[in-house]
Formats: sequence, C-alpha cells, structure tokens
Amino acid sequence: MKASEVIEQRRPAWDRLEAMCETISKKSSRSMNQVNDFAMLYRDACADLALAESYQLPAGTIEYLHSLVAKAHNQLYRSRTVDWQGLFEQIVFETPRQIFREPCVHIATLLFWGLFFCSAFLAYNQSYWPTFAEDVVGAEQLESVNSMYSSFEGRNWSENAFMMGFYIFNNAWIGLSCFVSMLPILPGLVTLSYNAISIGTIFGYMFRPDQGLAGEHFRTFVTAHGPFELTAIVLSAGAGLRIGLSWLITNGMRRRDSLIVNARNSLPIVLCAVALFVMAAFIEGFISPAPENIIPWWFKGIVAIGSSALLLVYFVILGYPWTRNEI
Amino acid sequence: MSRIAEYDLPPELTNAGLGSDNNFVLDNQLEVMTPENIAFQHSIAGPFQRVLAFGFDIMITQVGYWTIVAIFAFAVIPLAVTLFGANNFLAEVLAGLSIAMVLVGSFVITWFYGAYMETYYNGRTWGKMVSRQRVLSVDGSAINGTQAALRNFFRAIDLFPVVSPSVFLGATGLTEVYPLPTALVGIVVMCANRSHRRIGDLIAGTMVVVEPVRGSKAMLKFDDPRVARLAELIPIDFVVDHKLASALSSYVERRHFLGEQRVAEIASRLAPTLRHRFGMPSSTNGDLLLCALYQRTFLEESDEGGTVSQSTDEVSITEPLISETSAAPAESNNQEGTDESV
Repeated sequence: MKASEVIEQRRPAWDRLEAMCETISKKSSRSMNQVNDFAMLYRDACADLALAESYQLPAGTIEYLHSLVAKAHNQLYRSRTVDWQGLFEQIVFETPRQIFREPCVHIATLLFWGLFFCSAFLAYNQSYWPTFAEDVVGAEQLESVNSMYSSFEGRNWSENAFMMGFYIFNNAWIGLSCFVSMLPILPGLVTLSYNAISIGTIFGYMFRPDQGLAGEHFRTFVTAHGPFELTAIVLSAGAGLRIGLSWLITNGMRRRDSLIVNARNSLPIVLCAVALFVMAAFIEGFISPAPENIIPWWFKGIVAIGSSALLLVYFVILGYPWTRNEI
Repeated sequence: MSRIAEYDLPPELTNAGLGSDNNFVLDNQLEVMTPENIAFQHSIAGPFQRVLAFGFDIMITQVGYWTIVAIFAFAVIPLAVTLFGANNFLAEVLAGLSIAMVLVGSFVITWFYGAYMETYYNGRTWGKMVSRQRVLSVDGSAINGTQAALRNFFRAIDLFPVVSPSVFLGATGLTEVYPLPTALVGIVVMCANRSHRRIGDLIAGTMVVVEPVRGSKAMLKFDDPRVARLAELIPIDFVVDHKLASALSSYVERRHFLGEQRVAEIASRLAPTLRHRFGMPSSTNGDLLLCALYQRTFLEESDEGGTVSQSTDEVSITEPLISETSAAPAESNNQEGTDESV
C-alpha cells in the first residue's frame, strides 16, 4: 500500500483526534463515551507512529504524527489536583517529623536565635559595648523606633484591618524571598543574619529600663505575635538552606537530581512558614496593637504562651519520631 | 569478506553513555519514551516564546489586580458608606479590610497565580494557553502541584537582577516604586542548557513544550507533467528503503523554500547514483528525477495499475529499460561489498 493511500485512509481518525484534543480539555465535555473514543483514537495514532517506517510515510507526516501523539498524550495524562486525604496526612504527620529532624532548620534556628540573643544582650547591657545599638542599627533608626512606640496609643479597627493585610503582604513576601534567596546560600544567610541582628538589637534596646513609655508600649506590642512570626522566619530560612546546600552536598546524587529531590522536600516547610506568617499577621493586626484597657497585657501573654504551646505540640509532640520501626 | 572480530573498547570510546538519559534533546526536539513503550517527540519552547507567554501573564495578573482594586474602591467602599454612613464603625472597618484585601490579593497573585493555574489547568497559565505552551515534567508526564509551586516560587531568582527604572529614566518620584526585573539570570540559564529550562524549571524538574501541530498530513502533488513521465521510466523492481524514502520526502517537502540553484546543488548529491542505477542518461534533470521517485514511492496509487495483471502489463512496457538496467544494481552491490571489505 502506498503512503498516500495509508494517509487517505487514516486521516479522518487523525482529524477526529486532533479535534478531540481541544474539546476534551474542558471538563464539561468529558463523557464516558468520549473518553473511550479518545483513548481508542490515541492508541491508533500511536500504532500509526510506530508503523510509520514500515508504511514508508513521508517525513512531514511522521512529524505531524509526533506532534499529534504528543498533544493527545498531554490530554490523557493530566496534572493531578489536590488529594485532600494525602494533604491532611502530610500536614499532621509528615511535615512536623520532617521539620523536627531537618538539620538545616536546626542550623537556621541556632544562627537566628544565637545572633538574636547576642545582639539583644549587647544592646541591653550598657557596660560591655555601650554604643552597640547605635553602632549596629544607627542612632536615627533607634530614634524613629523610639518615637513610633512612645506616641503609640493603639489603632482603630479600620487601621487594624488594613495593617493585618499589610503584615501578610509584607512578612510572607519577605519569608518567601528569604527562602528563594537561599539558593545561592550567601544572600540568604546575609538576609537571615541581618534580620536576626537588627531585630535582636532593637529588642535589647527597647527592653532597657530607661526607655519609659516607649519601652512599655513595645513590650506589650511584640508579646502576642512574636512566637509565630520569629518561628516563621527561621523555618523559611531553614527550608531555603536545605535547597542551597543540596547542590553542594549531594549525598552521591547528581547535583541536578539532588536539587530536585531536596526542593520537593523543602516545599512543605516553607508553606508551613507562610501559614505561620498569616496567623502571626492576624494576631499582629488585631490583638497586638490593642491598648491596655481593651486587651490587657496578661491576655497578650496568654496568647503568646498559647501559640508557643501550639508550636511545641506541632513540632515536638507530632514531630518526634515515636515509632522506632520506621527507621 | 572478512569480518573484523569485535573486541572490548574502553567505555569512554563507546556509545554507552549516549542513551543513558531516557530522553535527550536534538534540534529542540525532545524524544519521550512513555511507559507504554511509545516514543514521540516534543518541541521545546525557546526563551523568546516563553518571554511572550510571561508578558501575557503579567498583563493578565495586572488586569486581575486592578480589577480587585476597582471593585473595592468603586463598589464595596462606596456601598458601605451609603449603607452605614461615612463615620460609621462598620464602614471604617470595611474600608480598612478592603485595603487589606487588595494587599493580600497582590501577594497571592504574585506568588500563587502560576502555581494555581498550572496545577488546575494541566500545566498551563493563560499566557501559555494563548501561546500554546505547556509545562511538563522532564520525563514527559504531567506536572503536579508541588512542581508547579516550586517553579513559580523560584521565578523570583530567575527575574534577577532587579534594577531601578531610574537607571534608564533618571530619578523621578515614580521610578522608585516600580523595580524593574531584568530576568538576565533566567535567560542566561535557559540558553545554557539544551531543554531551555530556567532555574525554577531545574529545581522543579519541569520543562516547557510548544504544542501546535507541526508537519502536514496532506500529500504533495506535482502539477508538472514531466514528473509523471519520468516516473514511468523508473524500473518497477526498484525498492526504496526507508532511509532513501525519508531523504526523498525531506527533500521534496523543503524544495519549495529553496532557490533554483540550491535545489540543483542538493539534487546533484543523490541524483547521479540513481541515474546510474536506472540507466538514464547523465543529462537527466536531477530535481525532476527525485520528484519522480517521490511520486513513485509515496503517491502513485494502485488504481493506475488497477489489478495485478495490469501492472504486469506495465512491466512489459518498460521491459527494455529493465533489461538494460538490471546489471546496474548488481554492479553497485558489488561496489558496496568491496567498500565494506576495505
């Protein structure tokens, strides 16, 4: 049989398959019969492609068949949508265990809290390095923080709602950027250390006994949302560090494969961080700025203790590898 | 004919390393082997096709973002003010929440638009739908949500370095607000690997292919009557093997795009051997000969010969030609044989 006859004979089926590639991508037009038809036409087109050489089809037709089969293949094997059961198990069991044993999260935690407490101590204690806070953050910056908190008398509800949105926008954005910029490691480490040192310094500076009203406002403001927000920073940096180190320490894999595997594993950690940023933003928007007569400081303290307890339950109790046989 | 005994070469001198990847890229075509053992080719999307799709996505997301802004600014807030009065507590909270929603919307659109679209629309954003591109895993299968999220998060690195527009426009108040991503990192990385994957693609293990149907399913027909006349002179027992068939079809499909002299030059590579086999005079037009052989191989339908008896008739008509040329193939076979033994 000549090629032109084969083509003449097969062309209606190819045309139908090509047309179906367009219609079947819409969910509404995916009936049982159509799916059956589609699968049959796809198999036939595959067979035509496989036999193209023995049919002696011209090169242009073979190219056409390649693209037709590729297009149909992409319709047949579709991206999977979210598997809710799997997602629940991932969130409740897999992710906390993964974070608990993740060395990069440990490194980021040590680095962040180490720098944070060192600079907080140096800024608070005026005998070792009296001008530490001014040297590190700058006198102007300290002055503006001070004046911001000394004049801070709470916000109204409209501002609260707006600021809640702003905190999600700003903090989660910074968290994701920190995660992404860890890929070449150094920029991410600089970002993390910079944040740790400057936040720590301002903490130490504002907690000095001579700060008066500003210090008191600062303390009541940062108490409630602190645990969630600072943990989120550490988590996103740890997840980023996992990816950054993956192409340096490959554990015997090719660099590219190591990058892919580790990126897949670190995604739940960074999404966990985003969730924490969002929760922190709600607290920071509505609870933290409330003045003493509406939400007293002890209540903010309870919120902080409660959120810390939540974090402990999630990361330690759910995260501890209870079942030994898994290892 | 003596066969040379095979001996073991060191592995770096063999083909062994070539097919170790289950797919490789040549001429922007990626060969994919499916689990059902079907091999087909995807066309990889190049950097400039992808910039177009990305530009369209930016347009779409900007339209979406400003729609959110407009809904809150011109519908929600005025409605709240008219319902509750300007200084009402609820109206103020709603106004604050509106701005919050706009900010959250901007965050969600920037970081999650691509991930959402590519997960739920089978590897396509709107920009990719318009430019007919699709994101796939490197093994040719569909991507999952994790891959979609990763490749879109790491776009932030691909868009580096970010410069201030004041570099080009001079310092004005507005230019500081809109940092301008140059995407040099992404473009350099895309140009440096064969399947044009940016850093996000490398991390997520994905690639972008273009989907429009290539090639043609119609056969070429020749209007020139000389082609048919020459085709009749080709010996009936000449068998075209698949290598020659694919060379012929590639030649005929491309000759419309080439100049006359180039066509003659390319034809002059193959035509002399064929002329020699068919016993045709050396003045035979090479281009016409190749077209005639194409016609013989792919086009000539059996209704010309009709039944078997009629086709034997044709043989009898061309008999003198066959007897004349029957020596030629044998001779060339001998030649090939000697080539091999050398």
